[in-house]
Amino acid sequence: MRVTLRFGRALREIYDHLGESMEVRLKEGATAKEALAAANLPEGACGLLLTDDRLCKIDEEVTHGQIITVLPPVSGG
Amino acid sequence: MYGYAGKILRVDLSAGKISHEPLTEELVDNYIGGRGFGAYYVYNEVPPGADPCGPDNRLVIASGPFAGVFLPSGAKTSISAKSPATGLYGDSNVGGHLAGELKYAGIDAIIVEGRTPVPSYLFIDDDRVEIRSATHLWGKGAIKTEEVLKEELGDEFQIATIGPAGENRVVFACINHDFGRQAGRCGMGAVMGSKNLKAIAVRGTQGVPVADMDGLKSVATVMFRELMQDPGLKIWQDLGLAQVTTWANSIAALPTRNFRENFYEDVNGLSGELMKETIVVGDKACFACPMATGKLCKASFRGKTVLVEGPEYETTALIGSNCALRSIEEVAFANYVCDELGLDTISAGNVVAFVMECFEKGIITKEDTGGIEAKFGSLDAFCDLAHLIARREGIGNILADGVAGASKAWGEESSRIAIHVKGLEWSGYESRGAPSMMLAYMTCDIGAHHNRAWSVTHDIAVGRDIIKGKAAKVVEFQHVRPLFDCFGVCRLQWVELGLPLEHYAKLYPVVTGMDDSWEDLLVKSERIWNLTRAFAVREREDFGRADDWPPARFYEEPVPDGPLAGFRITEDDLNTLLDEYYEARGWDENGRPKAETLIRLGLENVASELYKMGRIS
Ligand code: SF4
Repeated sequence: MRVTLRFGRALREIYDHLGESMEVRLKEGATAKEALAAANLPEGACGLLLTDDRLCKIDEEVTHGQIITVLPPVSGG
Repeated sequence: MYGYAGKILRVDLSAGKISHEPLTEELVDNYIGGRGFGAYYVYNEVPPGADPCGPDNRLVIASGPFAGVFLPSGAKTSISAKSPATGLYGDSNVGGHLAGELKYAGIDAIIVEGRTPVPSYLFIDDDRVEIRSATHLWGKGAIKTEEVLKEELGDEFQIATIGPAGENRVVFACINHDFGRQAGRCGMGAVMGSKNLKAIAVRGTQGVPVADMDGLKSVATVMFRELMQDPGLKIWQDLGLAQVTTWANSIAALPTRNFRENFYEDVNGLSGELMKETIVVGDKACFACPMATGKLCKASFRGKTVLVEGPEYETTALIGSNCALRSIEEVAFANYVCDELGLDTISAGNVVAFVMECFEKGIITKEDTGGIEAKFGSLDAFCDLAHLIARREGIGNILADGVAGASKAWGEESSRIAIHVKGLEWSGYESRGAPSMMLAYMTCDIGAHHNRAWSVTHDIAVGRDIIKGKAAKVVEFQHVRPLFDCFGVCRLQWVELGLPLEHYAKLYPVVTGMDDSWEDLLVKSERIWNLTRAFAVREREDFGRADDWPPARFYEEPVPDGPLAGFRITEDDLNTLLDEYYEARGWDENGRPKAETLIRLGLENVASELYKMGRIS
């Protein structure tokens, strides 16, 4: 299945290989964590994930065609 | 002069004298505003060896060119002085509505010197400036004081106040504003209290001249539009800064039980999501900010219900996991206690966690605490200790000097676990597994604070066990991030939502009419960084590398558990980080700026002063 990841601008500043979005191929039943790994993002690289205007948990199963917005970790000031 | 009000207000409290001085082009051109003005005046006007709580210290309250102007979040005021926590240059910034109001009153900065014989507050209503009696306010909490002054003067006055902690010169006393925002770090509240100055109230009705209004409208409109369209904006509005807690835990950076651990098993009780579900009752924004990260919360404890702004991440980390509290409502209540007493929540969380660990280890007993059962997880203990500290009563008199001061009183074993650099308690990122972040804390000019170079994401991106090659990134951040404090604008729109730096580079000429490039501005930031370092070098003959060293816990103890269990950073690693850092900065191996570096940055007079004193070569 295919999942689209959209990357927040602040994240793109840290990871040069990221464009505005990326489509990743995953096995059925894969989680958001696996989607991030497929985009070559190390663990801890992302802060929050959003899908359909709600928070998406890192270990949540994703589905074909889903769009996930990946936001960077926040610095708190 | 565009982007500035054009005047400095000088208040000599000893002489009862108020005067206005013109803002000079030279000052603006070299130091921009905000913390830059602070560094300039503190270096040039505070004599070496001056008591931070004596009349010779200066309290500099400064906005910058972007403050109060039509652009996102021009809301920041920098407050600078010689810090009673470190004995070195210190500053802290606060959002809310103070910065713009100062400019509308025709003032870019206030310099407060001397000491009034009786408790006073500074009243500013455009050009009318008076030193008024504050005897009716002395002893009152910071929030209560703001309420009383708003009632007396009118809601449109912007107020900055101290609580009892500032009056009693607690070295981590903060300055409060807008009922829940603080210039928290470096003990600026103690400096204000030592001058018998309880509050500043300001109202202004004037405008701020802008060089190119059409240009400003066009850049600012793009910035606002990009912010409003950002997918992350709603999350910020929903969760504020509390959202970082679970992430910091997941990457093993959440201070836990006095930084012994960096992973907190009860983090779910402290999460931003839970906070939103259970205690948030409203949102609050600073001037012209669409992010509205301030969260108004209700919290109850010991039969009392309070309304408090916060807790944001730092408070949750230092008072929550670091003191092992289990619920966000407990943290919110402790947050209120600190705000009302006028204590910085970051340092207060550190100090109480330090007491709790010393108590657990038997370094101190109930005899020392005055009967307080100072166990990790106890909100009772937190509140009781906070009150004692703010009033300098019993054990509170020792703790009011911070963990560095208390560890001197309690001996070697306690100093290993006193978590600070240069005397300033460590903020919310445990950094054994993040070497560049560790270096950022070690070298931050005000002590162990994260905001000058938040580089933990760099560690994650390039490798958490990699040491070499990381100093350059820290230096880069230390120039970019403090620029925002000079401009008088919040940096979260750039850091968190990725608003491009090019927008800020475009704003500078349209607001000020000056033709500086971004690179020129970075050189000014580097100048300011070197000036604050020069202050330290001039201040203490023995100042150097040892002052950039972290507490022993971080290199003696590997991470005990969690995702980074067993991870360690060695003394060799720390030396490598410092060697690279000093080289990148043009400082000698002892961390002192070389004369050629100061001269390159236009600090010839500073170079010659330090050279004559034999402090640099
Ligand atoms: S992001 Fe938060 S701290 Fe910054 S200006 Fe907005 S409300 Fe204030």
